[in-house]
Amino acid sequence: MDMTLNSELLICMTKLKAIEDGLQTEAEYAKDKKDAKTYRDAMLLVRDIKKDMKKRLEALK
Amino acid sequence: MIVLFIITKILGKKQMAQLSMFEYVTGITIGNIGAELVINLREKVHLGVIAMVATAAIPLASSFITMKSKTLRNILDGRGKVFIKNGKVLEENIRREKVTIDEFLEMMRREGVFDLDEVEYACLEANGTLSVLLKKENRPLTPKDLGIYSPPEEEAHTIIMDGIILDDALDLAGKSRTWLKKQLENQGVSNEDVFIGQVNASGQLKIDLYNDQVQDRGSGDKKLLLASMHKCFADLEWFALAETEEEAKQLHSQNGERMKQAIDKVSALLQK
Repeated sequence: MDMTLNSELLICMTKLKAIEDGLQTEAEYAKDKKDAKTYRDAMLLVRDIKKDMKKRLEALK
Repeated sequence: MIVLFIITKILGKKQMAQLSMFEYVTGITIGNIGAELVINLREKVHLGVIAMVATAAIPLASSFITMKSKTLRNILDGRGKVFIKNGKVLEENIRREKVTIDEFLEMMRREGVFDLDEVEYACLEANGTLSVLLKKENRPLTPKDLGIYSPPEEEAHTIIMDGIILDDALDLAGKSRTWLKKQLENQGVSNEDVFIGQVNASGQLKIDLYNDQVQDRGSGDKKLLLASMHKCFADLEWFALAETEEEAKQLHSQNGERMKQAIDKVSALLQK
């Protein structure tokens, strides 16, 4: 079970990184400052999740 | 130079692309006569011009004759030589054409063939190019193989070039300026921003902008990003259930909430 969870957490980390990059790119291409800020706020939330996930993965080692 | 230019125009584009052995020899001869004329300017120039015109007349005459006679065509233009037949390499023919095994393999690789076992038939054409027919099981699938009807495709029409709308091409594509204006508005650009714009066979406008930075990102990318966020949210909920430690369960649950907030924030923007 732990092995599966560990692998799933690792895969999720990769997805979170891709989402973070995607939101960052959308912020860069946003048509105005308001949209760019919305994308950046969402990106910061994803970044926080990623940090927590990293801590959990280290704890499971 | 002028005479040489006119002769080249008369002999046609073939002189510059695929030369037969005969055309190759003629090209060299005309070049030599031209060079002689340039070097010996004091000699009678008109004789040199006559020699060039006479030499140029030979391939024209031979083109006419080879169109009429297959035997002469084989002699003057040469014949193709089969290198692979029914999947078997014909070594004797390769040797006769003075092609080494390495050169033969290189020719095959240039045609995208790395395994000779995939080839049914290969022939060295008279102009020196290799034609390859793959075995049926190695050929790419076509709509016909799948029994799918595919209607004939029209060419794409270039309707904007260097920011200028080409009305003739727009008419040919069966579109109006109003339609074009609406399409450009949808993409948030004006025709001055467009380097090249084409209407493809399915009637869609494809544009390339001068400033690639302002190119609108495809809605497909945005929807994919939103779908990934939803998928990640589902993963976080699954982690909250799968974990055995209470603290970890809470962590994933809290992160699930964060992802939900992020989705709510950008959902409207990513669905545009």
